Amino acid sequence: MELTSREAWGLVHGIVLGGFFLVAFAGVVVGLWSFRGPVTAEGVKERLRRLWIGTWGLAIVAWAAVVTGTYVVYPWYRAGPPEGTTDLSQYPRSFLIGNPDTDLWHKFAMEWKEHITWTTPVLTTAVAFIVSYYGWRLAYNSKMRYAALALFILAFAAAAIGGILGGLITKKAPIL
Amino acid sequence: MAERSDLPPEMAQQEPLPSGPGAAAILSAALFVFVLGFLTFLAAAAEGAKEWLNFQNRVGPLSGKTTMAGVVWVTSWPLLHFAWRRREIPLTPILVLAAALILAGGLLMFPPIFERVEP
Repeated sequence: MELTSREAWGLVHGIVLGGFFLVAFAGVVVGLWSFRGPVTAEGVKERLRRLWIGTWGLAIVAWAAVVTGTYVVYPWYRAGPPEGTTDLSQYPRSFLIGNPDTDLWHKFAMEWKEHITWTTPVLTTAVAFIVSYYGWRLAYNSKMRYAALALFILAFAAAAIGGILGGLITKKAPIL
Repeated sequence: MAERSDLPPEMAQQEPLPSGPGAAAILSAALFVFVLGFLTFLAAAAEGAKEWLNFQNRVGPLSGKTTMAGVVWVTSWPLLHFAWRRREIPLTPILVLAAALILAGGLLMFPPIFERVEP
């Protein structure tokens, strides 16, 4: 049950960081959705602390996921084979593009995933800022709260697209 | 917004905060998405742009696209924040503009769209 270092990094990027974001999102979005007045001072303090930790925590996790994905895992994925190489299994991008039955896994799936997932940490950071800046006032400012919710849901959608496509691409052309 | 008489006393005494900083955060994030989509489309359409965006060979043009979009984001956010920090900015037009930027950016980075313009 050994993993190569590349497989381990892929695991960190996709399952640990990406998976954590997707799962923890549910808790944070419920916290944001239910953060409505009237509130008591004690109640809002406790819920705000959880929201603050949740949104900033997920922003950090999302940044870590895209940075490890782009600067650690992706170079291994896109590395070109030396001239004359016939076994492309160690070169996922070339492996996928080289076969018309699999080229869409790169031309559509990876091309979409590698771009759209970068929106997740940026949108989540904006949400974390709004929660931090407005604090308890968010409970009484439904427009700003719904705006933050909308950004957060879009961030999740982008992460989900990346997670699903990334998992499927890894199945088709694993980074070994 | 609730009437200030509905708020717990400790909170009622605190000053309300203007919408400007929130609007700045939302709009600058939307700008990032649009710029990333635009650069993705541009790199597909123009080989020169694609080469210019190749900031790091191992990563390819994605390194330049995300870096330049990031530059726009970290530049526009503080600028908008300081310009709007004391202002009550109408949120609806900002949200509409942000939605349009995010939609446009999302479409521009969708492969069936940007791959149409590849030479």
